[in-house]
Amino acid sequence: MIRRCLWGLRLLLAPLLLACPLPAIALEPEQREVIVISARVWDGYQYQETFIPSTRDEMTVVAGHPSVITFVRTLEYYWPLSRQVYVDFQRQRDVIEGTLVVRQNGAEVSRQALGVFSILYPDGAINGNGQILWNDDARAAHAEYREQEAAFARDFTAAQRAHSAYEQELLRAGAAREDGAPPAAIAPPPPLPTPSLRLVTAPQPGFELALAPGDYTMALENGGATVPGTERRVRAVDLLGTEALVADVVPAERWTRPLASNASTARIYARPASVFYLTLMDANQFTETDYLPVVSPQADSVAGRKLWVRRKPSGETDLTLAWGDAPQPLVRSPLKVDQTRGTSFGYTVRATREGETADLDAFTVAVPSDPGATRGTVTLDGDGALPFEREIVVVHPRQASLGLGLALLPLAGFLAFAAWRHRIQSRTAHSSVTAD
Amino acid sequence: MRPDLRPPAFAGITLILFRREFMARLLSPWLYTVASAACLVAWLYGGGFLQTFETESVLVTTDPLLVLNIVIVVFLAVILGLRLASSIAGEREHRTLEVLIVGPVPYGAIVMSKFAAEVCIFALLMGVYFAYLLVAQPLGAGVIGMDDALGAGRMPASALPVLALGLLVSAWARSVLMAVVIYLSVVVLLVAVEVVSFILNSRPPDQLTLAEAYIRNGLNGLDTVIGPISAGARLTDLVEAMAAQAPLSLTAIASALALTAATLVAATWVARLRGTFA
Repeated sequence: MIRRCLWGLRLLLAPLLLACPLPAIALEPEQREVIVISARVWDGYQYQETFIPSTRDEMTVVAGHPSVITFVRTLEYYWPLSRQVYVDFQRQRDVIEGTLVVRQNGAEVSRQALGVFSILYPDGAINGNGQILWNDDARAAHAEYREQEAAFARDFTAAQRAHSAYEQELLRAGAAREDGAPPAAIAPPPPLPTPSLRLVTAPQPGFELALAPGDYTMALENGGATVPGTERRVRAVDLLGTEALVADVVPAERWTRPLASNASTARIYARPASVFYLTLMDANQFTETDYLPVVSPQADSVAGRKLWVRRKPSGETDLTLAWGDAPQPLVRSPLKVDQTRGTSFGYTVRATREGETADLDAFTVAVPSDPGATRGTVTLDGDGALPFEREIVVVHPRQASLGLGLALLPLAGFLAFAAWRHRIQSRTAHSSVTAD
Repeated sequence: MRPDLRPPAFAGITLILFRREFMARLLSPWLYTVASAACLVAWLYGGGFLQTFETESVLVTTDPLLVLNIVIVVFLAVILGLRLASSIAGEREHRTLEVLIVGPVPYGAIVMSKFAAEVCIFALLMGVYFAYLLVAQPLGAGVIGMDDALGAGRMPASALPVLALGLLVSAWARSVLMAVVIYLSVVVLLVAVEVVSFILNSRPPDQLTLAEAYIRNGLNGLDTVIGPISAGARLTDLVEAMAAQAPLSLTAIASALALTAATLVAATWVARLRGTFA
């Protein structure tokens, strides 16, 4: 009997154990060969590198400014931890040749063969102003850039050698002076050459996408036939007039964590007699649905939500601060942050001394302690300047007891009214009983 | 028929009933308790705001009253919706609905008068709240200006569907207890769906567990179906506007008003279908 039960139990457990999945030893996503778009897109200020996976059938670009795309056959995989699709360009990156055909409402807008491009950054990659150069211009500019870099490296090495020789000469002269030799006149070496921020990227194959605002379709054609997997919709969004001046409010007690004040509606609430610092930044203001698909095609954007992208510190040096009707100039100045001595936390902010490097280049705003001063404004005046105005609200203490009393007033008023009415009714009833 | 014996038209009947309802509400301790509660919430919120400045010297925000305004509007919407939920069901339970109908009073007039009275009470309570903000200055002396106080001016439109929902429940329920239970259950369910959906949608996809991702997709799918007819979704419009730091859009206001009108029509139809008997 027991043996039969055990046999039955085995029969029951065997399929259950077989159905149990084996534990995963490693998470290696499955890769598949697809065609993706590798892109250098203009984001309104600079070029950003991104890609459009095969799972997205729409690409968004900024209208009125060229972006560059390349169709690439590569390995694509889904990474569950970030819930995004990635590509392995290192293992496979086969550029697909052909002719890019862009259409709008069925009509052909442009047709171009695969070219070679470089991006020229005259002031460095982080300072914007990138320009696309094509074919011979790209090759020539890159060759010239390489030559300039090589020349700079040679000059720098030579200058470093001259500096080393100068230091050796100084040491020798010092030793000779100790032995009683007369002072020697040693000519200083030439200064080290200043590196250039100019950058020209290496020439790469690509197609130019420079479109007017609107919706398009594009595909790669080879031998008169469309290359499968290259059809995409293209949305060109107009991002003109998005320049804005935004502020960062640096509290005196937390200078490493500024508070963003992007729009003029973002008011600054401050404690009386406090001090804060204001820095201005050049920025672009976008709606998420326009900007995010350009730079992060896989990101979810929220309709209607605004987005400010900070670009670089603003060059504005003068503001006007007004508490009531008394405007006063506010000048940007370099500031130094000194840590307090000893083991305790704390620091002080002061004006920089000669030769010191500034930690903060900001406008200093002192909030008045006068109870009469409740609101102030910081404005930027000047022709051609971007509009800038921020309201400062001084948060004075409230009358807590009065607030509590007023909050209870409706209920207290009703109770008083009810008691009065009850009293009148009782008196009326008493009078009628007496009259009876 | 003598002219003075001719029964009033629909608008006249609605006006008579509205006056009766409104005066009854004015004399109810509910109104004053709710008004004081709303002001107390503002006072407590102001205390928290001022407490922030004990450790911080500066705060940057578009509107420090935004969260408070949303809390007050949602609070008033739920409370007044609850009162409306008990209104027709109460008449039915006490057999006064039967008296009204043989009057004869059309169901539409009953629904409209009750709703209009509650909307007026809602406006009155919002007025008290605005006045309190300006006079008591709970966030600190001189912090709240006229523009700040009136910042919640567009918000009440989002609350109207919740009030109408209360009336719809009341038109169907046979007793006050049933109406209150159903109304609270529906409101809690709608709010829970919206809150969970909002939380999951506001988190980056890579921070969601697989189960959360499934729930999010399910709720988003559900939202496309019930979103346009959900009173809870209209309240979520307020929170979304707050997250986007933008005023409530005219589209959101229009959809709230359209949903309110549709719910009132449905309430009239349901009340007629359900009849006068408890």
